[in-house]
Amino acid sequence: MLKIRRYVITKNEIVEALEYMKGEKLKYYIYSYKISRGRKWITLARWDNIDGIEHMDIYDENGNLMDTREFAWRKFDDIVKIIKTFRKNIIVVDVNNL
Amino acid sequence: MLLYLKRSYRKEDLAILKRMIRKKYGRIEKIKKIMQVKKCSFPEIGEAYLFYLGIEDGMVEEEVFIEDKKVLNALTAKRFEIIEFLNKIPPLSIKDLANRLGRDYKNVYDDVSALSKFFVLNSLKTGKEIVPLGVVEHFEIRL
Repeated sequence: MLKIRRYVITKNEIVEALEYMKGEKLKYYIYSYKISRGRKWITLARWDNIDGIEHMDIYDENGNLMDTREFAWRKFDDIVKIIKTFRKNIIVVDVNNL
Repeated sequence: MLLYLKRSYRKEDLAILKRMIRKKYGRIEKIKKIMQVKKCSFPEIGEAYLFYLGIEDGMVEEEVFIEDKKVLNALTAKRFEIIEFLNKIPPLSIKDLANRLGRDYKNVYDDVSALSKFFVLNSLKTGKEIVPLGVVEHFEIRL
């Protein structure tokens, strides 16, 4: 089962969770902070485990991957709180130490 | 203020979603290969993969939390009619929706676009058409 959660901060900024569940267990997740450019949504920060390793990716405003960092899973609600605090500055914040 | 809604996806919605993912990225085997090569430099592909898995299970649910108060400007009686109508019928393009509602295409297009900007509706572009997908099961405004 796929659970989608979208937190709309403004119509141009969202935090999105895609959680693929096997029974009660969370098998894969992608948590993304996205901004809109025209009709397109661009990912600025993303936390996922779909390649088997939990990590965080940082992108520039053109959607180019800039950095990959270690990151241990946190609840989506925590991710939303962090993003609401830092918004676009999230790309320069050491999230692991929060 | 927070606007909360819960949307579920029917078989017909998932069939359209699957068709669009296949058209854009190919079958699941191809998506897996692209994921291995591109890894995180192509974030959409991982999302397509999870959608594919959810569609294959036949179970996709969505919750939307809207904090932007401007969403209230997008909610009108006519637009609520659209939300309610879409809950009763299989997925339709905006053109067909306008015909069924007996309304002007442009006005319905504008209404669907305004609601989709805040994810009150989830519209998918399918070639030249735009199709709102899913059924809004729950809608509430929390203070």
